[in-house]
Amino acid sequence: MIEITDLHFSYNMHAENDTPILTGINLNIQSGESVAIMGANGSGKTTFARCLNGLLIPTNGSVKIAGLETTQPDNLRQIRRKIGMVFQNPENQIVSTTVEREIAFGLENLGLDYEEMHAIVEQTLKRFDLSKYREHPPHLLSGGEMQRLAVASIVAMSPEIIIFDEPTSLLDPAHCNMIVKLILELQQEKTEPPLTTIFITQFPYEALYFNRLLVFHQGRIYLDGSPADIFLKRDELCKIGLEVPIEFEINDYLLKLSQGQVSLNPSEFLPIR
Amino acid sequence: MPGYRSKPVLNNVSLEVNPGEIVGIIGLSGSGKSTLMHHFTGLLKPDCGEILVNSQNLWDKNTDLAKIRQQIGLVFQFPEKQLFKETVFEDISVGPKNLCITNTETIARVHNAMQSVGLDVSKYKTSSPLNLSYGEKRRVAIAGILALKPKCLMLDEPTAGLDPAGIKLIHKVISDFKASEKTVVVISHNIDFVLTIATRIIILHNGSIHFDGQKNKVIATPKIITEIGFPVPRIIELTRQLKKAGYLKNEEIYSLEKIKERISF
Repeated sequence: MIEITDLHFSYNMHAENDTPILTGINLNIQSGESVAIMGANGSGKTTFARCLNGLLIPTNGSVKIAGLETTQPDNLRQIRRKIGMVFQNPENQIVSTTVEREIAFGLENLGLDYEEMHAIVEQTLKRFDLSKYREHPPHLLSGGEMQRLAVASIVAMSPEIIIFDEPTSLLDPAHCNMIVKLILELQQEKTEPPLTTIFITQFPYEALYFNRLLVFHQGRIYLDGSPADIFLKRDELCKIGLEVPIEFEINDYLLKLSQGQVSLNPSEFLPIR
Repeated sequence: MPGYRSKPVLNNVSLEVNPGEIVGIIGLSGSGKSTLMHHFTGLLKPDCGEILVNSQNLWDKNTDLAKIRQQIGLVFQFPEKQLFKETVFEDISVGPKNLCITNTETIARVHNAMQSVGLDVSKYKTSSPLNLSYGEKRRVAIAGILALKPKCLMLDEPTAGLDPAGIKLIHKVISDFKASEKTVVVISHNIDFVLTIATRIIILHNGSIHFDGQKNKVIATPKIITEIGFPVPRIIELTRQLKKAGYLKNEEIYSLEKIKERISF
């Protein structure tokens, strides 16, 4: 579904003091995969996400979405229809005057008829716990509610791939869980092609809900594997300024203290999928 | 109790914050945390009730709001959105300059503020704030507030989107403030962070105060948090399991460091 070969990206490639942001990424993501991305601030996560839907064009290498190269301007319309993107800062994507209209906005642009659009808006409001705000102007919502709306309006359009750029950074723990569980639920739905999700987060525990974890460091993929396996390599993550979930941290500490004799059972920490 | 449309956002809130306290405010999104904080500096005017800062009523005709705002440094959600100058130095010096502080003093304040947030002065002074990474921008924005030398610091979700190094830094900024007997009020969804840093916890629910008290009480009775719809904080769950397995004695622990100190097998 997503094929990335030797992806490089810089913002000012002709400037003297240019620091490249992405420095050689090779990656394949199959249709239906659920992928979490972690990395320190400035490691290139958001830039990478923007390369996926053609908001940024690689300075070198290639990004193909369902066989379509992002370097071909003619492909972009099709690519962006396949990929929904929830931005880091919800205010950057909210355009409408009420919550209800915001959810309908994308659907209208897809050319859905009124009945269908209405049904989807209803279902989405309910799903995201936003029904009571239906006629609320989005700018009067709290930070967390706005973030939920941003996710809701993208999910409503049922794209084939959804990129979530830190969608839980302003959410309370209850709504963090809600968003992550919803993503898993969406993933279970039988669609053709199956939904692919890419979820950028600073919370290591959230990554445990996903099947695959990519750890970014200085514009490259530093680790790629199942989250639970990666979190067992606590020291490797610490080296690049990241942390493992607290349960894994204590497990690692116990193991070291007891010289390998005592450990917690890491599978018990895994959230219910 | 201001309301957008008919539903009030805050309802019957009474509280007092004393010098030297580190108050953590938690609550579901939309519970009124930011709205409450905006009242503390007179950015919003209450429909009824009053706000006193140093026993001065904020909305009294004779009150100099500008002066009060100089004493309370307010760091908004995503403060980096407010960066606008060409260089980091200029951006941080906007505040002191507006206070008509001398040039030498301004330079000293900017340098101090940069050091407190871990920004190397010679490296970043002339950088454009817009070319910095996410974490660096947050540091510049916070340095801009510190340069005002406020007596009280208010932070709204200061750790949102930050990596562990960034979170440690926010931790340090707050601890430094605490060390100089100044007051901090911090809103955060990062409960582990709040439980580590705050001395007192206020839980807002549907615009009213659900709990206001020492953090030890919250740790001893997690029900206080769960009954408003929060999951049990993972740090509390983890200690519970460690106690069950016999690795920890039966005592209230709320930070990873403390667990590591006390753990035995």
